[in-house]
Amino acid sequence: MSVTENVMGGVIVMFIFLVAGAIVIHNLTGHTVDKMELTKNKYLEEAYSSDFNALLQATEPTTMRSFSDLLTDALYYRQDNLTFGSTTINTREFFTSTLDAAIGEGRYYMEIKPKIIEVSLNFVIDGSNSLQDEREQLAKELPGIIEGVKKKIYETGEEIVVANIYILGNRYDLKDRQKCDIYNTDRADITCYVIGAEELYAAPGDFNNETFDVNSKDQYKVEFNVTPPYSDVGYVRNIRKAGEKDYYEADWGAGVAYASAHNKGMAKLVVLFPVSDELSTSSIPDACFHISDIPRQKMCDLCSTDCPAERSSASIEKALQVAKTNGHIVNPIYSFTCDYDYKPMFNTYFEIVNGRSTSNVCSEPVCSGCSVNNGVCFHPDCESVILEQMNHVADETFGKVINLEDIQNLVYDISTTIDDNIEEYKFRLGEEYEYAARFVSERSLPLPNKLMTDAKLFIYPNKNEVA
Amino acid sequence: MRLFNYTQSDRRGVYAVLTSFFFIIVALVATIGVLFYQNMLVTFERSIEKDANEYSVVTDAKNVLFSCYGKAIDERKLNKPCNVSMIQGYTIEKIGINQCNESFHDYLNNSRYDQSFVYVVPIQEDKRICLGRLKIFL
Repeated sequence: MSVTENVMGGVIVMFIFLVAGAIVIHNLTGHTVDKMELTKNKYLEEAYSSDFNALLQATEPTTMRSFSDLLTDALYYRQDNLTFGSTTINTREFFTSTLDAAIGEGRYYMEIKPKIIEVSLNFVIDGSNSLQDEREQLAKELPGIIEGVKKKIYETGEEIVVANIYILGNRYDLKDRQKCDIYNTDRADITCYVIGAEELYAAPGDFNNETFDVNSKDQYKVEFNVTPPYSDVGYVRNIRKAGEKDYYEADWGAGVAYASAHNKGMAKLVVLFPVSDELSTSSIPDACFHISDIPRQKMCDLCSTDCPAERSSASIEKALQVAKTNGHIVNPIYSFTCDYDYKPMFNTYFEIVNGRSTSNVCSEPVCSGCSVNNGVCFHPDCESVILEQMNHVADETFGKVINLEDIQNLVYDISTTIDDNIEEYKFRLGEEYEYAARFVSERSLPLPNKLMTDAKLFIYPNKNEVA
Repeated sequence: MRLFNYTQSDRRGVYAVLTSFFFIIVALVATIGVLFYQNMLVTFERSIEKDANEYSVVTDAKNVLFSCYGKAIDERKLNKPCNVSMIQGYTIEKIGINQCNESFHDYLNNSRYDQSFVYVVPIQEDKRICLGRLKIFL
């Protein structure tokens, strides 16, 4: 009996020992497997990183530009087709064929987006009274908008967001200068300027090469021929002529060109917001600028339905040339809300037009100068043209039109648009498989505007390559 | 007279022997199992070390090849083999994309090799950079 007990005891001790040993060995095995995966992954990571370096050097045969240069150009200009001299190349096709051949079809995903550390928000606001509500609302909400953008781009805490307000008006006029007082310009990140004909348009002397400073920020006015819509030629006393406030106060096209040129060449994301309820250079028809008889002129201003679409378009095309050259985004804010209250200052106009000067005049279909809701609504016939031209500007610069139906939505609309601008500022190639095993290589590349950008190449390894 | 007369005490003895025998067998099987497992682990560890060593050999070989032919491989130098003793051989294939001319350079000493490792490499053709595949054989 005692022999049996001894043997049993020995067996139990041995069993416990073996079980413990098995547990230890099992843990060691797990550790070894992890080590093996780590070694293999480290090797593959280095190998794929080396592959990425090789890919970035590949030369496009017709332009002789490298893969990395074309990649940053395609991102910066946000165009698949880039033109160099007389040659146009489809960059996406070049990237795809190169990656397919070198890495393998369906085995990669490439994403490139700018490393945004500074954002410049530029509001070009029509200086006329009908936009007063919008200017006041923006002044109230601007600090909140700035903070929102900072949060969106937050990475290291060193991100900078600045806002510039450009009010279209006469800077020599005290009333116009006071339009800047509502903005909190004590803050270092908010600046307000009043810009008028002098700032917006090239003076005749500027076209004289001998005297004009070609390195000036205003060089763009000569380069793109940014001049007033009417010249002084044929000037007759008492006849409205070039330089008058009626059109430069609403020339948001020239305002965008000015704001873009004054943010040129800086390593930051520049977003421009022209805010207007009129066509660029105003919705007042051309004919009204050449009438000397005041009553007839006012009648023309308020009642003519002939929208000056071509004049506006000419101004906008110049703005587009400047903004596109600088790689800036334009998000026009369409504020045709017809919510401008009847003001006594219009008495004279309405009296002239209608022979009466009461607020009720706006509820009557006097002419297109009035809305049916007791609010003043200038040139409602131009509404669709304004929207069409704003959409054109947004499409050409990868921006969006903000249709400001309710002024209370201003912050929300601006913030979501900036979010979209930042989000869409990406160039993608290949399919992204979110849950698949992958190796990611990252490189920082400079954009033409000196903004740095992160290019990431995701490679999905073959099954036999993964541990 | 009964030829076999089992008492209760005798039966206990038989059970004890059987039980002990059974446990000894279990212990033996477990020991063999653990030893086998351990042996497997040791082999596995060796395999990892071998793999790690292979990865480092391949990386070293790639660096040697780059020092022979240049960081962007100079196609004109590809006619001569590079002396990389730690590997079985290598091949460099220029991919025929982006108007680059396809070419293949084979420096595999013999057809016997265990593993191959592929890298995408830049190859200089005149003034432009083409892409190629460097295959290293161990």
